[in-house]
Parts: sequence; structure tokens; C-alpha cells
Amino acid sequence: MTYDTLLVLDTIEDRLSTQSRELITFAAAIGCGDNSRTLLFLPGNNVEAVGRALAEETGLAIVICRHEQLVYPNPDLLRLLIQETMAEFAPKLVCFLHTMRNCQTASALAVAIGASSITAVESFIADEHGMTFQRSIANGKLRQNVRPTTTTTIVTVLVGAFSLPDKAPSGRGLTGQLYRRNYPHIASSCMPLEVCRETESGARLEDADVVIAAGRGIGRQEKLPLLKDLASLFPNAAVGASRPVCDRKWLPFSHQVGVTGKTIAPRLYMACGISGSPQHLAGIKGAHCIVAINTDPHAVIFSVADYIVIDDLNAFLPLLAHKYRERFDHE
Amino acid sequence: MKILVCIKQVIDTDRPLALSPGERWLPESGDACYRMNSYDEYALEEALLLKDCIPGVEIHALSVGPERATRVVRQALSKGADQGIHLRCDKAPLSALETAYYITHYARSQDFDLVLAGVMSEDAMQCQVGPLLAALLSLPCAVSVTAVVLADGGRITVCSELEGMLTEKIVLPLPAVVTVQSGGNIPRYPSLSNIMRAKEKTIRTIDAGDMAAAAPSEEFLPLAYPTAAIKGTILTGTRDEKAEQLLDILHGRSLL
Ligand SMILES: Cc1cc2nc3c(=O)[nH]c(=O)nc-3n(C[C@H](O)[C@H](O)[C@H](O)COP(=O)(O)OP(=O)(O)OC[C@H]3O[C@@H](n4cnc5c(N)ncnc54)[C@H](O)[C@@H]3O)c2cc1C
Repeated sequence: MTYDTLLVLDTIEDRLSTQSRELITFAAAIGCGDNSRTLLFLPGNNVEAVGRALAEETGLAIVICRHEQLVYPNPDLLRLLIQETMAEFAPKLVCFLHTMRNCQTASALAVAIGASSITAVESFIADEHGMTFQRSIANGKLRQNVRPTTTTTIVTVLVGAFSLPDKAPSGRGLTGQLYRRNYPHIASSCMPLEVCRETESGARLEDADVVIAAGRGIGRQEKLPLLKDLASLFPNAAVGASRPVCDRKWLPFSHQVGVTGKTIAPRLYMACGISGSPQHLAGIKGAHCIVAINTDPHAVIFSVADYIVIDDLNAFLPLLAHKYRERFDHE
Repeated sequence: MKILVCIKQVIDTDRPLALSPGERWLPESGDACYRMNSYDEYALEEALLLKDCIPGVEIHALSVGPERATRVVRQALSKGADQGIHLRCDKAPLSALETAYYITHYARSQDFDLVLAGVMSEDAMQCQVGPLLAALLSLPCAVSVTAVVLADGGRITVCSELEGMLTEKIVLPLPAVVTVQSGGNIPRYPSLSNIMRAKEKTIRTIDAGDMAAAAPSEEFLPLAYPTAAIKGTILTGTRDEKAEQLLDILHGRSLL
């Protein structure tokens, strides 16, 4: 049996990442709604139950690939295992979620089999020339169109670019074919020891109705009081930050919003001096209302903002707080 | 211990990026528009920290790019790298594989114990040069690393950041390739004496044209502006008026 597309799912300690399922939507879009030639690849130490449930839920064929060294992510090992699976099922397109670890696996696989590997794919065009994949460059300011010229293509798909698939109507009864594979003779010289969760307490961004967020555009740590002051005007507000702000230790890591920070869905998100990189935007997809303040009229954050203020935050934020006090403090 | 640090010169994306029709890569701009890729600054700092605490560490800083890329190599020298290498290549865009291929040529000639690169370049955003290098050199690799610690038996222990606030601790044998994420260290400023000393040093230039190139595996079509047009409301008027409007809006939405 051969398949056109292989979707590599992510597990950590045998738990499936929910977002991995977005790949199913991506593959369906490429196959014009038809996923019958799509094969799922589920790696882990003990993922039998997860795999069966997935085959039942999605009706898709699935390779349950067991290896005791797959409790924690191990791209080096994963690459070797995927290669075995590819030799058997001959897919022409291999898809991963765009994570740093998966970029590593994709790169290693590309070199091993002579495939093209295109990362952080957001969309695609299928026409008489074949597939063209679209991705952001320059922090999201421009879009690059890349066309693979090899017979096999590997892509990593940006998290959130495709939605989660609808749950299949129950009782459909079409369970996908299960392939159980283990390759105990394959080993890796990289040894993952453990996975730790960042437990730094502090900012309770998840519970705040309003998040006033600082970006690198604040320029200096000394500017943070401008944001804190503004936050104090709202009933349940917190101060958030982009990664560079936390990297510079202007705010603790618990304030960071984005793929490597927190995912939040406040009623109001006010982005101050934040450019709107894909990694940051991934954390605020659920925000109900976004206000962006930025000096750059072409800032990417404006493409997701509900209200756009093209201005210098150093002047605008104090003025906003001042006008608020003028208006409401006497009531 | 010999460490190679791969450094890219990137365009400053805070500036407007004007495209001419048919352009396949960011148009050439004035010298002032370019700087060192920030993740590479963190990679270089990680190498310098190792050098600070282990005797006999030698750091080679290498950049693939046009003539202007020598600026970031010089900058690396002024921060404390021992040797500067410029792999001169005017082609743009280079695929990640092409870049990695060129660096591999140099790495093979030198016996490095550790190869460091930034986790991503801020212009191309592919996150691939590091792991491709590892694959081409058949070396173990860890990506998105915020700390490298030398362990016993010619091994390193690294903290590799996963998405969603998770960190993985990995042990890997040397030689190895590691890509560095921001935040694990604070890149230093060069001292005045180091800047002076770096000015004296010669940067070795190797013409990429003299090296075998990777067979292209993808074609880059003309760039475009993102299609996601502005959906929101642009507040207009004076600063005072914009502030008043925003208060009205927030009040109207019962947020204030
Ligand atoms: C693997 C990986 C994971 C990452 N995870 C995250 C993450 O979880 N969260 C995250 O945020 N980033 C993350 N990043 C980093 C991300 O790619 C961007 O570098 C980062 O989001 C940029 O932050 P910024 O918008 O604050 O800074 P910049 O992109 O530098 O933008 C600063 C903005 O401020 C504006 N500005 C400057 N001065 C002023 C002023 N006076 N008034 C108003 N505006 C001004 C500028 O026009 C610019 O738009 C990650 C990167 C990688 C590679």
C-alpha cells in the first residue's frame, strides 16, 4: 500500500499535541477534501491507545511507531524512523507542524533523502506548475512563494494557519487502517533526559480581561511604568510582553506571550511597540479586541488589529491615561 | 576546543521594505540598514562564555554573504572571536541548503568540536541552516538552545526550548551542532581595546564560487506583500483626538 501524504504528529510523554490535528485540515485542503491517500505517523513509547482512538475518530490510516526513546522529542531518532516508514509507504509529501524540533527533523530528512524542505508554510497554491508554498519572511512583512523542484517535499506548517478538523460524526464506523511498526535496532546518540514545564509564577495573564503588552518598541525598561499605569485603569488587567522584552529581563518570563510563552484570550489586548511576528501572534489568536500602537505604518500587527494607532507610544500612552482621568475621575 | 559560530547579516525589518516587481529577495539597501541577526548574537555570546571559562577555546566566526557581510564578521572579532571568515557569495536568495553546503566546506577543513548558529535568521525565517549543517556533517544536533554546559566524556548538556513553555534537557556527544535561542544570555558589547584589536585582524575571504554548490531543491518565485489587508479601524486626527476616540471605543465596548 502506498500513500501520497504523510502527516507526522507530535507527542510528548505519549500525549498527542492537539495542534497536530491541524495537519489533517492542511492535507485535506491539498487533496481537495479527500484524505484517503493520507497516512498519519504517530511516534511514541506507548501510543497504542492514542493511535486507535485517532484511527477511529478520523477514519485515517495510521502508523503507530513505538520506540522506547520516543518518550521525549528526539528529532535525530524520529528522522530515522520516518525514513523507514517512507521506504515502505512512499509518500511524496511529508508534513510536520512548524516547531523548532520539527524543523530539525525536516532538515535531517531532507538531506538524507534528497528532498526539498520548506518551513513555516502558511498557505499554498496548486496549479499546472504543481505546488507553490507561501511563507512569511522579514518578520511577516513580506511573503515568499517557494516551489519545490524535487520529487519528494517536506513542509512544516505554521501553527494556527489551518484550523482543527471537525470531529467526525460519531457512528460513522470507518476506522482507519492501523500499521504497527517498531524498529528497535535503530538508536540515536542524542539522549533527552527530561522535559520540564516552566513554573515561574507571577503574571496571571490567562485570567486577565485586559492585557497591556510591551514590545521591544518600548526601548527601555524604564518605560514600563507607562504600561503599568494604563493597566491600573482597567478593572482586571495585567501587563504582558513580547519575547525580546523578557529576553532583556525587563519583565519576567511569566509575562511572555506567544508560541514559547503564554496563549491568552483576553477581552482586550493592547500591543504597544510590538511588530506582530508570527511567533507572537500565535499567542493572541483568541483575543476579542486588539488595539495596536506602533510608529511604523507598515507594522504587521496592524493586519490583526481592530483599532490602529500610528503613533509613538511614549507620547500616546501617557496622554491616554491622562485623558481617561480627566474624563472619569470626577464622576 | 574549537568552536565555529555562523553569523548572518540581515536587513533591519523596522524599516519600510519597498519591493520592485519581480524581486525574489529583499532589495539591496544602504549599509546602515544591515545588522547582525540577533539569534546569532546569542550564539556568539554562548561561544564567548565557553571561552571565558575554559582555557584554550578558539572561536571562528563565519558569515556567508556579499561584501557587506564582512561587517558582522568584524563585529564578531571585536567581541572576542579569534578568526573571521567571509564566504563571499552574491547570490540571493540562497536556500538554507545552499548556505549550509558552503559552511560545510569550511567546517570540514577545520575539525570543530562545536558548531553554533542562531535558531533562525530574522530575514528568511527558515530555522534550517543549523540542522542542515548537522545533517551534512553527520553530527548530532540540538536546536533552540538557551544553555550549553560542557559535561564529562566529551559531551555537552543543553537546555532546548520547546513550544508552550516546556524545556527539554538533552545530552549529546561532541562534536555537535547547536542552534541558539534568545534569552539564555545577554550579548556583550565589545570593549574599546577589542574593537581596536579587531581592526588589525585580517578576515579570510573564501569565494563561494570556488566551492561545489548544492543542487537547488526549490525555486524562489517573486516576493509579494502579505494579502492580509488591514481590517481594523485606523484612528485619525491629532494625538488628542486619537486618544479621545480610543477612550470612546473602549467605553462603548464596556472595557473601561
Ligand atoms: C522559535 C522562536 C520562538 C519565538 N517565540 C516568541 C514568543 O513566544 N513571543 C514573542 O513575542 N516572540 C517570539 N519569538 C520572537 C519573534 O520572532 C520576534 O522577534 C518578536 O516577537 C519581536 O518582538 P517585538 O515585536 O517586541 O519586537 P520588534 O519586532 O523589534 O518590534 C518592535 C516594534 O516596535 C515599534 N516601535 C519602535 N519604537 C516605537 C515607539 N516609540 N512607539 C511605538 N512603536 C514603536 C517598531 O515599529 C516595531 O514594529 C520567537 C522566535 C523564535 C525563533
